[in-house]
Amino acid sequence: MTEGTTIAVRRIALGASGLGLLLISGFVALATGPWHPPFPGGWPSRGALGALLDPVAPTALRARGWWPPVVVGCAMTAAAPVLIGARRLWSRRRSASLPLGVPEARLRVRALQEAVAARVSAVDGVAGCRVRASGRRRQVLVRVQVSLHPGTAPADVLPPLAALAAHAERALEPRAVRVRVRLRARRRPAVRQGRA
Amino acid sequence: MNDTVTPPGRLGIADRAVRKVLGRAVGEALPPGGRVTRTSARVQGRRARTAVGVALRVDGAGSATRAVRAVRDHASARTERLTGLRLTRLRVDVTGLRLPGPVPSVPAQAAAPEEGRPAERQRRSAVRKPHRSWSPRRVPASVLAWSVALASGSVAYGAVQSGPRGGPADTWRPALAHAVVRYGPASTGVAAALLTAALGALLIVLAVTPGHRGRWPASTAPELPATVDRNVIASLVREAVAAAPGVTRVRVRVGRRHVTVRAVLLFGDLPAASRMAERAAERALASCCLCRPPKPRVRVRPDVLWTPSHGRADEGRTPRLTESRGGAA
Repeated sequence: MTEGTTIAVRRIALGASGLGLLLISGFVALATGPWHPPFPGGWPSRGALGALLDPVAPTALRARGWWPPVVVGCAMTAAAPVLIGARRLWSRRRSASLPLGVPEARLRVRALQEAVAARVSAVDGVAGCRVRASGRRRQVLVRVQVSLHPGTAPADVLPPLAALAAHAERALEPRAVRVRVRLRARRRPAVRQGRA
Repeated sequence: MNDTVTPPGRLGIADRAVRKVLGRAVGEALPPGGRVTRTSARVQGRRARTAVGVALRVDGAGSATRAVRAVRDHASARTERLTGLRLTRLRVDVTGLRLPGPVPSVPAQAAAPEEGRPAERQRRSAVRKPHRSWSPRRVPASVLAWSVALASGSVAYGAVQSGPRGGPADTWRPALAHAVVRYGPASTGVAAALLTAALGALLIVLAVTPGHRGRWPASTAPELPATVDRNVIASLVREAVAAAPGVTRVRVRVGRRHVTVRAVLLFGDLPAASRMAERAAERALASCCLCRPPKPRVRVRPDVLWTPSHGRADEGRTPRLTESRGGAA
């Protein structure tokens, strides 16, 4: 799954559950008011809004043989995102190296991270950096978080970083390399600016 | 050595010997600055499975891939020739990497592609101004996933435990079953409905808005997507405005469209100081290379000690101002 798809899936899930909660709350708000909307068709209730289910409904459901397997199946489906997330966390830890364009040759992710970090730290005005590289199916994504010394402008730092990105791209040539940079200010103790 | 290979005898080559040969062979093919970090070999009959770790140094136009390919080709051919074994596997792990230094190549290479097709480049950057990146919403998504998983898991557990005849008595499940039968939408209450509605609205807002409010897209080159954090912009603007003569107590607020700067003037000409502060803020914002820079709104207000008569900066020392205030009081 690409990054864009992950974001889309997460946001659709958030939006759908938000919409669901809004609909339920609207239904409840209407039910407490003067107009009583009926339960949706097929709901195991008599139609009175005073009770969510008929007293007989749970017993009747339990009496049917298919009830527990269906519940367990639905629960497993609902728990799927957590399982997928756990699996992804596991696999991300394991992928310590990425394939180069040569058979049986791999590049240690750590070597790439350290090479980029060494170059980034050598740029003037950079106080420190954190580099994360990950191999995706199509491209290698290198995320660089640069903390700048106070007074350093991004205009001074970005051109050397662009040159670095070009170098990294050329070094791993058949594989596409994408470098993403985030510039942050390094915190420093607050200076009190008072009247002289 | 050859005379040991008589028809009835057998020549065995130890793993260690293959390892040494392989290490030398790899060293021969490595580009300058590279070194062998580890070698391993396992001989099985007439074949050997080998692996090697290398640290590479890539120069300006070099490619790690090309170097690795050269190492692999040379080392396998040479090791096979020297040992007489067939290498069924030669794994190459790049365990160290050094990229070329920034000094000599930066200006030439940065300028070269721009000269080639300036019009196209300009058009591309004009067409595709990067927007804010969309936040992956990691925390809300995982909270949602975990709560759904926990709820459904407990329901499944209940279904399995109770079975067709009802399970052992525990605390919450009978209570829940009782509540579901006793209470419904009409008896839930408006407060609960409002709370649920607020939660739903929050989730929808999280789903629809991009997030990453504190990060501004910036770029000097289209191939390097970068973001600048809000605090970088704020500190640059603050320092630039505070450097103007007579200006002190600068407060900066970076919003989505405007950067609001409030400063206090201790001495000097008010309109001139305002203009200077505004220009300084504009310069600081320009140095941030933002794709959609916010507009500066600079407000300089005079200090209580400030008097319009002290027009020039060299007269406006703090002691004199203090004196003039003392005289006025």
